[in-house]
Amino acid sequence: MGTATEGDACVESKVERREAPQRDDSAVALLRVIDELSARPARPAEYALAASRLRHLSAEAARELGLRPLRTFIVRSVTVEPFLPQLLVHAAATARAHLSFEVGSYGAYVDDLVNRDGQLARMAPDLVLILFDSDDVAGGVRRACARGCRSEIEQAIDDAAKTIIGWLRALRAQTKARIVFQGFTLPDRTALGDVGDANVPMGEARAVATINERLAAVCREIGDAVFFDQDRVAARYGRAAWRDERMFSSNRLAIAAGAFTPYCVGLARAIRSLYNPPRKVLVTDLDNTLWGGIVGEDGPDGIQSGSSFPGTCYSAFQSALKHLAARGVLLAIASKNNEADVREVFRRRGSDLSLALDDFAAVRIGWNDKAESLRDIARELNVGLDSLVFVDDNAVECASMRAQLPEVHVVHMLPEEPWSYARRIFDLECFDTPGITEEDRNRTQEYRNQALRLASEMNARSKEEFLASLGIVCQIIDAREAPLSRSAQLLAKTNQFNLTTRRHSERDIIRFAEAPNGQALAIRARDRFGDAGVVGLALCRQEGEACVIDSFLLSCRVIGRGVESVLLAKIAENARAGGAKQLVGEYIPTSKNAPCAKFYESHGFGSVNNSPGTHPGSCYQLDLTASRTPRADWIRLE
Amino acid sequence: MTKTISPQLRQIVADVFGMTALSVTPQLGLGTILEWDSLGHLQLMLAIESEFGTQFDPRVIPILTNVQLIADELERRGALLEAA
Repeated sequence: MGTATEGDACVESKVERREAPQRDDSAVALLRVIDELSARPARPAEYALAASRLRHLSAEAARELGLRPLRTFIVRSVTVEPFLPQLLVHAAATARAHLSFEVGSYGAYVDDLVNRDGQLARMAPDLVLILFDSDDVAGGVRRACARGCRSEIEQAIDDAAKTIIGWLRALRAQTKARIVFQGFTLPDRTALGDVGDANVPMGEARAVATINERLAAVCREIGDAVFFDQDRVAARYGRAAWRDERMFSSNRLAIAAGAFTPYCVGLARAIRSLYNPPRKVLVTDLDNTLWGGIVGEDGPDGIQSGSSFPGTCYSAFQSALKHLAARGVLLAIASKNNEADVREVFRRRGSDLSLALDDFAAVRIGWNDKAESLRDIARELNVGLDSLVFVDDNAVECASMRAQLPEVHVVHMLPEEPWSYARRIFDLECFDTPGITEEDRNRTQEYRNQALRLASEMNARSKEEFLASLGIVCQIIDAREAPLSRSAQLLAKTNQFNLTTRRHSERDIIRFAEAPNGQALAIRARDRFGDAGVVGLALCRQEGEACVIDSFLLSCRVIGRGVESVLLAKIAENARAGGAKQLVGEYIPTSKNAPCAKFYESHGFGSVNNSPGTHPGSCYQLDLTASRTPRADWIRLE
Repeated sequence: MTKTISPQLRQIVADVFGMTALSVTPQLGLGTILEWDSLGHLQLMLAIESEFGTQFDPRVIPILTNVQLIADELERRGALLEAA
């Protein structure tokens, strides 16, 4: 917003602009305004005002508020400017991102994507949004659908998909920015009509769905990219009302003004999934939550679960939890009950329950304050409080939890509407993640294995005997083969045993691997209790005669068993083979990584005095020609 | 034709362009301030449609080039207008 210029003859000189607020505490108030605005239907003018204030926020002020600044380039074939204010607000509210935009020209989208000297390349953005209208980039498909020849339609789909895939690969080759690719909406009305379009082998709707599928697949391929399923959001809203044909034909505005909010929220959610890891644990209450009724009063036979109403509602809820567990969310119980009563329910009513006690990674049944139970559960599962989701039917418990543990996400189920429970679970966005890894699928089993290990440890006479008895076997592989998504997941999620906490992207991992004498290693570990999968990662680069360890991290489930020593030894071996004389490591302290503060010292590294202003943490060095790092003899390396 | 612009319309224009309501005169329009360019015009029209619950003919939108003309059109459409 500029200031009025003197001497203008017209209205300009009389225009008074609102000053952007100068006081510091206004920034905190701004966040409150944004959160409040995003939670209710608001007028466009309210969004315009909030967006303007967001734009005035400096990068430092944004960071202090916990907003991640993201310079964003929008590649587009449609008009986007009218909804940018809402997108700014919802990105701040939903994704805690502070976006600053550069918008490409209408006709320049191919150039933006492929030209290494184009507008996008010159901006070097953190994030790229690709917003196309299907007729612009896949128009041939609709024409082929009108002619009704299946092979012609499939050819047109193939041509369109291949072209767009080529653009996306070219984009990935020229930038390490994260990418949101917007999918196409299925047509609401088709030339063949509802009946015809569904019953021919390849109707218009199916054709668009097919292209979407192929484009979603290439998002997985190029990495650090997410497919924004615009059609799902549009269908939820009502496809007919999603586009205002009046505004599209006159202004190429592809989204109706009334749909700006669900559209921007959907985009913000896709953006968030690129940066924020999902929550890890769902803690559920039992009485009137997991099952109907109160076991202490109704007895194990009186609680409701199973194939007759209202038991069906609770069974559906249990199934929903089971679905979450299958894709990597850990389940836990926090219940005010007698433990014996609860065990009796799981024992006696097993056939009416979709979950067994064994499906829960942590169980706290007793009469303690639930906030205390949740703190306990977080400690036992080795996660932060901000990884927990708490589900309870009791309004007082929920309010108490919100007050005592604000980092926990609280879901208050309405006990008068048990049929809503399952759907509320699938409504949750806190578990959003763009992909599922093998480790996700096996997470609950791995926690069972861990419980067995701990039991074995208590029985062993000494730590050495325990470690030897585990029979640990490790395998070191290229981080790109982990697969790459698992390596990136480790980088994004590991906090405790993480020496430098650098949140590198998939693209960065590839660069470390491909650099001369660079190393990108992942380590797998298994023992007689189970296979923990890929549990550690290291990224190194060559700097003169030194091999510098940029990143070294280990999943919290294998801390203390020597796996880190094996990985470090391999790094040293590779470094020596590459001609390095020193091995250099850094420790950058955070609030969570105290467990690895002494790692390099305990492995024979000497401390190095830093010149002021070079590193925020401590540096360590090992002379590769003179020393070897300590081995973990009880571990076999395959 | 009304001489006085409704406070509701003035407030929307003010909010969309980040000005004070008092600065919104009947002659304020497309090209008279930096923010009211063709995209700003579209943004304003959408906000007015939402606020007044009306839909303009897209052929008319480009010729509603100042606040007075917009006010006249709203009155013609029978949208809610209060005299100041």
